[in-house]
Amino acid sequence: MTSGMTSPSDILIDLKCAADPALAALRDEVRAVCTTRLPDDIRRKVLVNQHLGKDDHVRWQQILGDAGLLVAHWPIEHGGRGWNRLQRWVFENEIYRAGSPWLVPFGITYVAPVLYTYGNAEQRARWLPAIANAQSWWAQGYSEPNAGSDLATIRTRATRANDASGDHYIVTGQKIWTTMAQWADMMFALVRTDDSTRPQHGISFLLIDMQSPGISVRPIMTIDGEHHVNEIFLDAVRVPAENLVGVEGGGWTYAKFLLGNERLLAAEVGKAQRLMAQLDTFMRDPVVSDPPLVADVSWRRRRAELDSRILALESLSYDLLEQSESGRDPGALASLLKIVGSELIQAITGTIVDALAKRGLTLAPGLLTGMSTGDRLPDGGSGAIAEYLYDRAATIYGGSSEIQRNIIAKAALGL
Amino acid sequence: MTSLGDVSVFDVETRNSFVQGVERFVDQRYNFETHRRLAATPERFGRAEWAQMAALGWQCLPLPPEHDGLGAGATDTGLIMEAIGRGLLLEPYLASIVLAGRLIAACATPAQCARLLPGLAAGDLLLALADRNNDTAQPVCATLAAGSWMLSGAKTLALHADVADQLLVAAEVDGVTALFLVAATAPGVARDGYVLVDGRGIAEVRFDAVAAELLGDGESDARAALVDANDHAANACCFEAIGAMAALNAQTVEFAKTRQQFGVAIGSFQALQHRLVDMTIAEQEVRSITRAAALALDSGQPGAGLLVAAAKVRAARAGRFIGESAVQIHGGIGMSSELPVGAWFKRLLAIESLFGDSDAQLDRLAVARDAA
Repeated sequence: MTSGMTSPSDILIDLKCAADPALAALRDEVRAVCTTRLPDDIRRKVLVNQHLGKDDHVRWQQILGDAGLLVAHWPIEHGGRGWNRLQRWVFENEIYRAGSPWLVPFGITYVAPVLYTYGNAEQRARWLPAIANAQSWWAQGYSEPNAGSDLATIRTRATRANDASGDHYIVTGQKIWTTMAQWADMMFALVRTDDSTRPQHGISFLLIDMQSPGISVRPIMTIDGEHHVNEIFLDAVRVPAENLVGVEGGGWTYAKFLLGNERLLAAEVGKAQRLMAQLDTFMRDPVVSDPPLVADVSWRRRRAELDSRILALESLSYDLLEQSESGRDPGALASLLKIVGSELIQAITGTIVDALAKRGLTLAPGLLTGMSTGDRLPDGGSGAIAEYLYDRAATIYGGSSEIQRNIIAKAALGL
Repeated sequence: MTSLGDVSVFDVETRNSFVQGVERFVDQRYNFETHRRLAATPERFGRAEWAQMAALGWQCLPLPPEHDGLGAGATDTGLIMEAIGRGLLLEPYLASIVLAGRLIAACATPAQCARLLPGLAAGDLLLALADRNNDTAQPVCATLAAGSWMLSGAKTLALHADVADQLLVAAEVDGVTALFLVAATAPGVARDGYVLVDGRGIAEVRFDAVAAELLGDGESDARAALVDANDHAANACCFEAIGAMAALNAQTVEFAKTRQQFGVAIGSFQALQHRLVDMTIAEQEVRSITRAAALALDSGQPGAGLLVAAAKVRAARAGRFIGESAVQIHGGIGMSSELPVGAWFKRLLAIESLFGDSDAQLDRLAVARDAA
């Protein structure tokens, strides 16, 4: 049967592209850029789950920017190609399958759309170009120690003060779980500007220069032994009033707009496919298990079960994206993509851990930063264990799976 | 973007009115009482209902246009299958039309097509496929003597073979798979009818020197056609499962909103809300992957069979989860045979076991990953 030769990771994209030549051209363009321009050293780090430095991220983002792909989802008048979300999703799947680093979204897909939708002309002119060519690094200042899932209770306070040095906000408070803030030039933050109204109505959206006096960044080491996230302390930080986006009190609306933008892209199918290739490599490796796991029927079925789950998620993503592009908003149901996508990634990395456990769950932490050699596990093994541990965050950030289920129960099922 | 128009025999308007007609039949002519009454009859389905479906054009839908059919593919046939699952229909649509009809169209000579297909389309003729070997009995072998074929051996789990007029039987001849037509009442045919868990009929069939007619001209191997027909049947099963799952989910959400305990609707409890959300998600996943698989089948996409396999696995997992959860959330009343909840659950169980169970489908996917 010739169909036996088709990879599970190709079936759906091939099906979509067969019916849509423009999408096929986009896919081919992205594949060509990944093949010819994704630097080998960066790709290798990704494929063996090593940690990337800021330089690695920026170098690749600048290549993508140069190829016209980094901000292709922006409107044409702001320097993008006006891609819709379906096109953006296919792009992301293709680069992640190919071993691209995570495209840190805080600038290119989080704050930029808020700026070109709600920002004024000066703000756009000032910030968008540096985002588009990966010259400014942004962080997202949302969570606080007492405002996690219940984000509307943030307490970081911004008080307007017009004095000798101009019209400013004085910002005092604390942000937490701020990803890659140690590299950030700027942070977009939700701050409280009004206590006298409903919690959601007193929140504003402020752009804060990370070099401002009064800001300190403290690393938080996570369970994978690495430095991804931070605490940020703001002690009477002066932020120019011109850095307020939109109107005072509008912050919650902009934050919801931002989340809504991203909800349909939440299923990381490309990453899932890359991880499946890694699982496959470990299953064939006699160092992991001899005879290799790929010869064992129960392991073959576990792997196939994951493939069936990816295909289901992938087809569901296409359906919801196509619905949305044709003007039918899937509404709260779109939250399911985040639930299913994050749980699936966790299931795959969990299966990888089970495979590696045949050899022993030993870590060689130096490998993650390229500081040592000589892992007992096959190439990428230690990193895969770290990946599993760090991916526990996927069902927590961006609205935990429990919050997402609450949303669907209420808004889609009417419970 | 792939539009429905590329694979549907209907334009949008005709398709909508066809769907409405199908739904009206299920809503008005085939309620749960009809299901229970017919399941208790000796044939375990309704001849009158079968004739009504034929009058509405159900049987002719996927059959070839040159023989009274409409030439529809998996996507359109899915409309009917979904309604069959929702309404718990017992009639042999899957066995006689989706499976046997497709094999006739693919393998039979023009003369055989002209003889068989109009009867299938009109609902006058019932066919069943017997292609599954019985591990504990001799597989069917075909021998040619004096220009006539004779079959001996046994087949198992032939859906609706207990009521079929004729059987399509797969047999190996010189290392090639051939299909044969046998009258169900021919001398030497012994049918042991059984009841599937959901009330439909299924049979073990033994053949003892039975005179058979070769389907087709004997020039080509029927194996590819059997794989294709089984893929279509498996995909149709997934659509049927969607109908049953959607009905269970709707009924269970409604029940959770109205059933009061501790002074409140039980649907206000977060534990139940999250389970109902997971049931909804499971249904949506099967919907999407089943439609994608149908599209792949209809557009002749390489790898279509793998999508069918994945869809069948997801339908099995979702069906088990939704069926069990629906009973659990209903509580005691969910155990009662007076409610359709259990009947949908059992239909999902039956679907899981037919046309390649999860292990078989996973093994197909595993081979594809090996080659990737």
